[in-house]
Amino acid sequence: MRNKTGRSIVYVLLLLFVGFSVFPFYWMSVISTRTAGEISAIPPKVFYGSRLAENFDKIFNNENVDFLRTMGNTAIIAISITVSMLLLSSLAGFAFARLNFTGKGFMLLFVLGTLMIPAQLGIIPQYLIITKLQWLNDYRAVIVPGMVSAFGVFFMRQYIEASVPNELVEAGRIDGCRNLQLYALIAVPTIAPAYATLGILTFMGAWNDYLWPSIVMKSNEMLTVQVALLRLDTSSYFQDKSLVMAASVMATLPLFLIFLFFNRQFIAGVTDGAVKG
Amino acid sequence: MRMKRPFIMLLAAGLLAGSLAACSSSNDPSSSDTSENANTPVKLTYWNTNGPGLDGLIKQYQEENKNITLDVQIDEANHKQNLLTALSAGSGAPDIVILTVDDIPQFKKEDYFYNLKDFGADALQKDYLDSRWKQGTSADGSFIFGIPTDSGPMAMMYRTQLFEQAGLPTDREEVSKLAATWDDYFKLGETIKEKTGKPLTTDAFFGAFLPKIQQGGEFTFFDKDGNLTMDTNPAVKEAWDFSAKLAQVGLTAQQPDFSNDWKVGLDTGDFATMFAPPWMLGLVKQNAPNAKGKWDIAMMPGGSANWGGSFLLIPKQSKHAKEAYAFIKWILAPEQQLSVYESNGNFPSTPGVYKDEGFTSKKDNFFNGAPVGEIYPKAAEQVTLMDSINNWSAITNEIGQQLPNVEKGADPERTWTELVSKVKSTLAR
Amino acid sequence: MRTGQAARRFNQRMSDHISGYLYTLPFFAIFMVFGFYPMLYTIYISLFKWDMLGDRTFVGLRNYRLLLTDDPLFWKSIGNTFLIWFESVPFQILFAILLAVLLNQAFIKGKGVFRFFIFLPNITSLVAVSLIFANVFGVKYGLFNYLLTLLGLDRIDWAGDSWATQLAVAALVFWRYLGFHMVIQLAGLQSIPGDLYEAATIDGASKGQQFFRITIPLLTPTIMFSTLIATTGGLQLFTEPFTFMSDLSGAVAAVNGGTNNQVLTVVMYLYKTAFTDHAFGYSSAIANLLLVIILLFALFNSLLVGKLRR
Repeated sequence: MRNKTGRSIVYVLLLLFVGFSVFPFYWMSVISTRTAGEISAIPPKVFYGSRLAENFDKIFNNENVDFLRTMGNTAIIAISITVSMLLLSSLAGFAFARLNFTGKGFMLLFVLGTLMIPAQLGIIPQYLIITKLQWLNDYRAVIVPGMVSAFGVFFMRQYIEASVPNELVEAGRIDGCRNLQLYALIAVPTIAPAYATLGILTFMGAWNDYLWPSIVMKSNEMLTVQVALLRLDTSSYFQDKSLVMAASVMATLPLFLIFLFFNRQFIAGVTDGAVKG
Repeated sequence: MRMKRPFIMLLAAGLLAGSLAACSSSNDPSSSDTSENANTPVKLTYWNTNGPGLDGLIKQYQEENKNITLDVQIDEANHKQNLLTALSAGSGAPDIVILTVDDIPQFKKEDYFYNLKDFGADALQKDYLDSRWKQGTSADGSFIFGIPTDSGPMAMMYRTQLFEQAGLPTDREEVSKLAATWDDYFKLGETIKEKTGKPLTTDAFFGAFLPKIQQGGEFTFFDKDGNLTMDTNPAVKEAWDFSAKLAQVGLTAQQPDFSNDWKVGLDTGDFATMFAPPWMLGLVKQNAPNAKGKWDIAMMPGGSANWGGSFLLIPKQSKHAKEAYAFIKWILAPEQQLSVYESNGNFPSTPGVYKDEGFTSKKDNFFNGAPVGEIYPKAAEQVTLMDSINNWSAITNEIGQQLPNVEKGADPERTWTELVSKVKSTLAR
Repeated sequence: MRTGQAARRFNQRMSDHISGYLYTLPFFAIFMVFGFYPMLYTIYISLFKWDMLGDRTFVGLRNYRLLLTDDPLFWKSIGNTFLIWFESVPFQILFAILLAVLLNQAFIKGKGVFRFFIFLPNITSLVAVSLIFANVFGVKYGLFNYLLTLLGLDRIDWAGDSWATQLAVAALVFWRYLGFHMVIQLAGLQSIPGDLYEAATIDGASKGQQFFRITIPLLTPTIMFSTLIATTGGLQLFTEPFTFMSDLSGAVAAVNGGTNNQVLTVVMYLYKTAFTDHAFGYSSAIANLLLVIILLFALFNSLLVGKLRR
């Protein structure tokens, strides 16, 4: 009996947080159906208005921007970054967690250090590099800098340290496994949940990245979706927020689908390690 | 395979680090302007922002000039930063770039742009408002950086109902007379405040300082050599004192232009007047659709002043400067400015078209049928030469930052002294 | 026999070295180009007075001297950054752990749905988020103040009162990254072997005992990781306060972080000095000092943890 009330409390708590998290998103979708003037009204307009069709027409039959193509661009970039991030981060993470080599401690500290470098400060020199490589308006300009990150390496290192037992690795060695086999046969299967987590975080980050793509992907056919959002309406000096919201909702839909699809994978991992009973 | 790329990049980085000092861009002008056959296809990149309303004309231009393709690229949020980056990196800048009146002062660096005089732009000067043209040139007028797009002569929006409640006339002519000078404007504010309890204007910065300083002459914050004069020029202090006085007696609503509170305030009528250039009218309609018929337009105190508008410039990096100039010359010519006015409401900077009948007869129903086609040309004629050198916006930013504190009760004199010393140390950095 | 073992060990050491360097090489290569080179560039530029378009004037360490001795706003921006950090990060981590532990309970149905929704703020576009928060915290017409006036209370000046603006920004940060950290904590929880809990249950340990004896100690590395990410992110806070302030009270307030500079973070100040004041060398000096501060902070953090562990 006591257990039951305990469980209800847990559900109520979770629902509270869901409401807290979802409300702004819900409101964003409401704004996308309303006119600019209604957005700031008091009392607030919390139900759907009638402008959605008009906004959608502006998005998909746009003179400046091929919205679907920008989604395609973003998908190419986000998928490439995610795949390479998972591979390279887990390899480096595995090396830091389970291999012994001189200077490892220092190198790990170095990785940690790079986490601290403010991203905004490097834009101009980074841009210089991209222009010297002649990568402006090229997918590589966005993909290559994002292929692996200190966050990914450190995250994987932490996870492998905690979940891939040293004894297992040693046993593999005695069986004559080489390092790459140890990684592929022992580490990779164990860290599937970490792949799911890092994969989702990376994909979302790449999909929603704005600043850097806006600097190196200039021409209309190479835009990413977050940059395209703001190019839909250029007729007035100030942005039509309602249109921007409608386009944001559209831009977020693929994320929804991907999240829902991979969620199952992820949750399988969750229950594996979960408290039984 | 996978490992190869990073190695190449490492190498590239090494080379770059070695040539750091060579990165400041010094372009050889002779090599960058390659003359081309009139029929060779040319692609011009054009960094645009929202607002100038040129989209339709750009299409028309490409249809009429089959060899020209325009790649129009817009990045509203990072426009200025991206241009700075591309210019200082020495590559990646477009063939044509737009810059607002606020931004152009900092970009007036002769090494980075073509002097449009070399293409014969000085012959165009007579077609444009003097006040707008001069903002796009060097202080002595010898270097023409850009040609003006639309213009922003200000008039005064007023809330007729509040004027009625205060027992004041609501006729445009009479309201214009009531607010002929800034002293009159202040008195008007006191009356309205007393009778209706409503403040006179939005805030002390947009509602007083900015328009007033723009009536202060060609050199306000800096002299013609770029030396700071904000602390010695009486026009600056006068504008500050007036704004502070307005703030101290509560004639400002503390709803600064473009904030959320301001948008709602336009709808509900939280302030009695607001200074508005033509482009502002569209924004008011968009944000306060229910206020239709509640605002009217009269002349503002002290004549008028320009707020907004942009310029088209050609960065030195362009390899198609000739074609770029031909495009700019065409798209900003009087006939085209008139057509943008008719389609988008952007006010031309070419006074020749103001006499056009279709122009003068224009009325705006949203604003009580105010004859905007008469009001704004009259305002444009009264715009005097304005400050457009050095880091103008760093100073207005500082002032816009401090005036709300005066609205909340900070001592104006002390705030001013601190502000001046802050600006001085900022400029020394 | 012995020599064979030694040879095997030697071979293992060799191959560990080769693999170790090879596996970590991509990271270091990319970092060198897109991280280390920019760092050198920034250090170099910080020795000049430069507006990005004119000539550079070499000024030595003048920018650093000015920053440290003659720029109250720099110190204020550091104070603001830490304050907003303090008002958001600890709560964020705490609630992230709580939510993760709750979601990790076997009896919960629809885990995926909960996780998805709580993660949602992190994928919502910032344009939308700041607009909505500006609607909530508007001074005259905000939702929050509307509710206060309904209750007969005074309005709060979210744009003008320093503490109020800081709190609003902290709330935004808390809301936006809660789900992010929850997901990380969930991953950490899964790395704890389930049989540990089974054994503890058999030994008669209560849920509470299990939480404090098993979950927390084994989750510590993940908590540290989250804290580190939140801290480095928090000390580099920029976009959230910037876009929020721009919707709340206009562009001037966004650049300056409010009328009293109350939410001007270090990176916002860096941005202002670069793109409003056009003091690019000075701005680079700020970037370098920020890096030093973050490194000191991380060092302090790890020393503290080392002490606690012992």
